[in-house]
Amino acid sequence: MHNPLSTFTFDADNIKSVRFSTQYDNESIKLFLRRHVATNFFWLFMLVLLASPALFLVFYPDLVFSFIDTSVFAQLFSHTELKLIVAIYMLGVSYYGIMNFMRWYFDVLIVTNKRVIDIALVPPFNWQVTQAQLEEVQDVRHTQGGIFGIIFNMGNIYIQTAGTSQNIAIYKVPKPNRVHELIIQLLP
Amino acid sequence: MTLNQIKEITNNPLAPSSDTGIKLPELGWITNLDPIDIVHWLFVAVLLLTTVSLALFAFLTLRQIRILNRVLKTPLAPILTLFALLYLILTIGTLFLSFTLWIRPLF
Repeated sequence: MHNPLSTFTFDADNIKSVRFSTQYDNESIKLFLRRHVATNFFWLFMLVLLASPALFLVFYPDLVFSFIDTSVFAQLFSHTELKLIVAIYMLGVSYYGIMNFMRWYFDVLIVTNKRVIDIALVPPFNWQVTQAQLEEVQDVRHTQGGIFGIIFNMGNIYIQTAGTSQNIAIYKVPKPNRVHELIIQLLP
Repeated sequence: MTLNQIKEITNNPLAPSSDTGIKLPELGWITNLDPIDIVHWLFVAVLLLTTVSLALFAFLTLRQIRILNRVLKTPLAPILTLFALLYLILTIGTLFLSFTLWIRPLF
């Protein structure tokens, strides 16, 4: 079984631990891709930054309340109310974390022996599933660059399809050169 | 009507001074409003709205995760659902506490 948080999984036979809703019985998943882990660093940093004042209150309540008691907040709210406000604030911060995690977790590209499927979540409440038969794939292209693209070896994959089918793209995936090569190999 | 008469009717030591120009005793209640109270209740209204929104978002997120877990079936699906459920419980708990603290004393 592959790591459920993995960003790059290739199995020439079948990745058994992953399935999708429209998968046929004789359809096997060869390649499973997700955005690079490094794309999470910014929101994780922001999460820590936003949560730190509240965590300070948890670990040093006396210090924080002695400071608050000298401020205008002491006139506005009691200590109980302030604790509840911190709880509401932390719930908001948690929601920010949950949404960003979901955005990363449910942004995947799957290549099977029959087709290419792209699942993309657009927070907060939208997502789209795009698919193209392997026979419809006309061209595969990848781009890589930028400071982080070079440091973490990540880039974008573009799959051009024939006719009116929507083109498929996934951004900031690890090892774009290898992914490009594997998709080309899987084409009929 | 003299200033003393207004003060008697409104029963408010802070009733209009001679230079405020407010003559109607019926408006005496305005002088009872404390700016601190106004700001406090404005904050409370915003906080209650935020809490209700968070509870609604938590419910929608739980539904969304359940649907997405059917679209993409991974081993992490039950854990994600559990986390979303826990978040929903926390938001409902906070909403309940908010109502207990701010709304219930009003009645």
